[in-house]
Amino acid sequence: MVMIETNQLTKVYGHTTVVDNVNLKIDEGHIFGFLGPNGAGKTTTILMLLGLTSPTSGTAHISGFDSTREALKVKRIAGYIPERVGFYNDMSAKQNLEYTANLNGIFGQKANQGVSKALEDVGLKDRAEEVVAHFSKGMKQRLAIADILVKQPKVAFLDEPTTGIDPAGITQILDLISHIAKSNNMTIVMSSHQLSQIQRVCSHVGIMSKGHLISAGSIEQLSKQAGDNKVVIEIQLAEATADIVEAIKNLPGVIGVEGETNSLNITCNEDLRRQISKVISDKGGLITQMKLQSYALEDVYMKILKGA
Amino acid sequence: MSTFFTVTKKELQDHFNSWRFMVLLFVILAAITYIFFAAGNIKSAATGASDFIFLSLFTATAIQTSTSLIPSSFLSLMAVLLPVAGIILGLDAINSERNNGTLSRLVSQPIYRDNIINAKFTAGIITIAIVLLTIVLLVSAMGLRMLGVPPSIEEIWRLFFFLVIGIIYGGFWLGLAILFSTLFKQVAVSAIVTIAVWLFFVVFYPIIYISIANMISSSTQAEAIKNAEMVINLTRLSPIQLFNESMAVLLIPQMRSASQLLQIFSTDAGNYLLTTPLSLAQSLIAVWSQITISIVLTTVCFALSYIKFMFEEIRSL
Ligand SMILES: Nc1ncnc2c1ncn2[C@@H]1O[C@H](COP(=O)(O)OP(=O)(O)OP(=O)(O)O)[C@@H](O)[C@H]1O
Ligand SMILES: [Mg+2]
Repeated sequence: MVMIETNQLTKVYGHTTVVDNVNLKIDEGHIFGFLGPNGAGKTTTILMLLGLTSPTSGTAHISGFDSTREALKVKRIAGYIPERVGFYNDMSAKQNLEYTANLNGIFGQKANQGVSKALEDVGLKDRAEEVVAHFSKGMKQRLAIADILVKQPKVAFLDEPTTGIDPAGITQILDLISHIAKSNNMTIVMSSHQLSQIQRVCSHVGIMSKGHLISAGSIEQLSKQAGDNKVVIEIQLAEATADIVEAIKNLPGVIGVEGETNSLNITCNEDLRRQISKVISDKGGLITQMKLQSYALEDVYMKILKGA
Repeated sequence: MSTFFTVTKKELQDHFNSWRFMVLLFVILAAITYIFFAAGNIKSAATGASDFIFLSLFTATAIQTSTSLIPSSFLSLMAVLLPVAGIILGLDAINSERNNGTLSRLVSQPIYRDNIINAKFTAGIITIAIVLLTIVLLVSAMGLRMLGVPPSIEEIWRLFFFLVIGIIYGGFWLGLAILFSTLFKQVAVSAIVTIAVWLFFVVFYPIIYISIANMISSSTQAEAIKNAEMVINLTRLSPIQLFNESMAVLLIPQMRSASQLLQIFSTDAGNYLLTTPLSLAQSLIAVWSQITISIVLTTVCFALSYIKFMFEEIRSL
């Protein structure tokens, strides 16, 4: 089922067209990554989808509701974490979330339970009574995710949820995003500048530049479209013997193998994960980790970034 | 419970937990102390008044001062404190939330935007009402002890209308402060502009109309009355003047509004009228237009806040 849909969505400020005839379709349950350099129009598109600003022309629908004309209905089913999210600093984490619960018509015992559950999910249970003013950026971002969970929305828009957060914090937040999407069957739209982060959690991606939606679809689909299907497979082995490396090199489709000690980067023409793992187990090796990376998509994105 | 009540409740809690309320408490204490120190003066003035002894507690000159900048009675103290209360409660209503990044989150909840402004205004009004009521009750209690005379029913009614008009007056400044907090992104700017408007009416506006009055020369009596009327209407453009006039008429029953006085003089109806107090109904009729104008002014502040806030795009940066 289509959850989010825009039709020739356009926003003009003065004489500049910031979002230009964007047609976007996102299915229910997908985690959609919204990629684009600064000023591409990501935030503006999200604002129009949420009914927080009205389009110059075109339409936006969420779950069948018109974002402009049925803004209140949209806001009932959509959660939003703005780029620079803020909380009431003199209130505790719990009080902040309870306020959100109340605004969504959830009160008393039910609100209490929802808030506790949400704080637990994001790992802030111990800090529930603490005043938000003392929270670090990473904690605030997790609190923002809890803020969305309290509302139990069908759709969530996360505008650059990882900016200003340390690498460990980024991993934590990205894991959290995949987790809540799965356990709540939530459709998530997440904007970012970084392809690597999008690739870690998103099944689908849209690339935006200068107001145009350049391409959108599943990550594999886009990699294919991007021209050559070169992929890099990263593997970690318990022990990389020369024997194993030689066997991998001889596989049809493998272009090159590089790497030090026990981690190898294998460049191939297509996704050869199955064949590679078979060869390794045949030679008595043990794979501890295996990751597929598509650099084709990155090339596309880099071209867009350079052009911008 | 609708979102309106949720926001009102939160705003009220904010007011009562914040430095603003500390300021207001300080103001209450100052007002009470003021009355306390001026007790001697008030007592002699009050016992001198024939009827309405209790009311004179609020209007009697408590301190003789040579400058008009220091309030000389409880009433003139309120004329200063109510705008201060309204401005303090409203000056960062919208823009502090905008700068904090909470406004983005708030408007993305299922809430009508006008409810946000309405709730903030309501919470401010309730706070002003509580503060004003507390002051009036405390002063009344002190007065009861000092004078030993309980208020008459009519005096209680007049005090009640004093409360209502006081709240409307505080509400006007609250509305103005909220308006500027929607218009200006920075709290410091909206605060300074609001205070500047207030100071304009306190200090500069009187200078303007007094000089205009001095410039006009009138040869005939009819012309003089016409010019006087014009000056009176000019003063009524000031919310402070509207308040002072209606308060004086309500709390000093012998008092007529400025334009009524003019009528009396022009028709030669007699000086004796001036010594007979007006009935409560007559007093209310006399100040009706002032009250209406005050309400209209407050509504205009609102309409402008709505127009600015309703369709505005709210970004988090
Ligand atoms: N109120 C406004 N008036 C005029 N131009 C605006 C306004 N708001 C945004 N813009 C412009 O619209 C363009 C797109 O902004 P937008 O915030 O949607 O980009 P973005 O993709 O979210 O960028 P970022 O990655 O920096 O957040 C920018 O060039 C910005 O300058
Ligand atoms: Mg943005």
